Amino acid sequence: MGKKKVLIVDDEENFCNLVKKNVEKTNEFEVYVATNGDDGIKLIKLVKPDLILLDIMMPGLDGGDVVSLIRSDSSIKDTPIVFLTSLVRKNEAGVGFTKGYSLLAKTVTVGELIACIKKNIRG
Amino acid sequence: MIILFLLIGILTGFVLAVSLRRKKPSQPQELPQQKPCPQQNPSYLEDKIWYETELDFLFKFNEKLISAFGLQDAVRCITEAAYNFLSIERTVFLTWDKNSEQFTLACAMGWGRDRSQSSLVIGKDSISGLVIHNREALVVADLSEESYLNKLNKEEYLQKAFISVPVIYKNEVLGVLHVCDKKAPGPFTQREASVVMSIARVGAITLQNVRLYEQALRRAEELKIAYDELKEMQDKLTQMEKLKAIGQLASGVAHDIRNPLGIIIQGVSYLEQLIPPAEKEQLETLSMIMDSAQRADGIVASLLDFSRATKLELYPEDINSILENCLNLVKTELKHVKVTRQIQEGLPKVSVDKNKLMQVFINLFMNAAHAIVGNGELAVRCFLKKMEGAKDLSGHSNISFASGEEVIIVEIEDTGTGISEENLKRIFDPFFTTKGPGKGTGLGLSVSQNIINLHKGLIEINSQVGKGTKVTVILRISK
Repeated sequence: MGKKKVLIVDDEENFCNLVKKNVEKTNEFEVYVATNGDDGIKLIKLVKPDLILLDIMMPGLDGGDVVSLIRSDSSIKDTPIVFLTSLVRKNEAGVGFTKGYSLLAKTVTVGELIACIKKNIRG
Repeated sequence: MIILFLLIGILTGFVLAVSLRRKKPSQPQELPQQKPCPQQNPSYLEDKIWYETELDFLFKFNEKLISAFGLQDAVRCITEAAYNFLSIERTVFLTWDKNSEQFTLACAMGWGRDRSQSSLVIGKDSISGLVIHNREALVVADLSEESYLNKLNKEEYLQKAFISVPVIYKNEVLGVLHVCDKKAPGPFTQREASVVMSIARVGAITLQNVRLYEQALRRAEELKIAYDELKEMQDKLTQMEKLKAIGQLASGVAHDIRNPLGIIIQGVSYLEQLIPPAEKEQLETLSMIMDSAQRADGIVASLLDFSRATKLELYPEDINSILENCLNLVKTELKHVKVTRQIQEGLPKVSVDKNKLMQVFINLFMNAAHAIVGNGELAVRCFLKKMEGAKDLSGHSNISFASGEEVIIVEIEDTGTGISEENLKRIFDPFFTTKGPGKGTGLGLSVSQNIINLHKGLIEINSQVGKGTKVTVILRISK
């Protein structure tokens, strides 16, 4: 079985690249990076990731717009989404978020991030 | 020469006439009557004695009245004066309330033993009413012969002969003084009436003074209360403004600070994996960077709580399992502490926001853990209780408990270092901390209080330095 595909959409390029390095280090995932909402949508359709790490506050298409576009496209609408945001506490990240999404703080540790990806990814 | 004498004579007469007029302008006709030689008129002696007695009495009455303390005392002093000076059966003093247009018995002498204690209320359709309406003294020789008075409501202490005097100060009616029935039969004389009027006049001044004084005291008290309330309100508003500003700042800044923090944390994690375990110094340095980044993140997180601590997602929850979850989450912090639980079984559910409440309890447990140096104990109690007496939290008008209301009490008591009285006063202030720079944000208890108050509950802290701290959280039961 091949590696699972994870897409990170975040306008902070350095953050994306570091997450990519850290997550790929596990040898279980292949990480794609998009630094804005438009690129994100294009990559989602192209790559069909198994999970999306999505920033909420972005210039242009923000996290919310990206989610509605994903949910309205039947070919990708079931992709699990983990929000990365600066507006949650760390200890409530991954817990308690409703409606089928997960929520992670931007300042999450690598261990927590990988655990969250594994938990939310299907199959 | 003759003309000169004539002129002098006329001038002297004129000057005499003028000086006489100046001496008694109001009673010019009375003067000659009081002048006759004492030896020739026996009634003069009587007059003199009467006047002297009257003067002496009024003087003493005045002295006594000045030292009267309070309205009731002044009223008694006036009633007593009238009763003692004349040989009579009864004296009654009624105070007039212009708002309700009623008289109330303020003092009675010679009219039953307990009359002054019992309340008597008379309307204005009475003899007293007539007296204050006419604003002049009423002297009655025999009530049974005065048919116009008998049409009014009968006041039982007014039997036969009496004097009723309005007690008025500068148009303001204060009450009525009734002096009733002489011990020796017969009507009251004009002289006796004039003494009663003097008593009423002097009494009125004192009563008005006392009333004004009492009014001033009340006003001062009211002003003080109003001022205190205003001050408290202002403090609250300032606090709220502060919190609002923090909230706005927090959500704005959180994004900008956390993005670079995220990069630092991810970057350090990456480097940690690249450095071989043997390179201890390098790994320690990275660990320091990581700790600092986490601390900065903690501060941002606490600030964020302000901007969000306004909305609750309430569900009926089992308080015991919330407590147990929290204890579980902080068990590493409580390694040095012996935790005892006294949890009442089968408690009703409470309507709470579970995540927010967990935040409160975790914060309280962490505080306890930090307060306990070396070994210590932490007691967690949870039980049902009926409120003893109503409880109000000043400043939070929407938070109050009725007497007898059933509530859930959570007590968290540690044997830690305790909090000084001075610090206890500021314990809920945002940014107040004793943990030293970099160790606490000073927002934990402030946020906790916000959360509990949002639940319309209460949080109280009692503490003694050297003995420990007890935090009591009172929560409502879901209905």
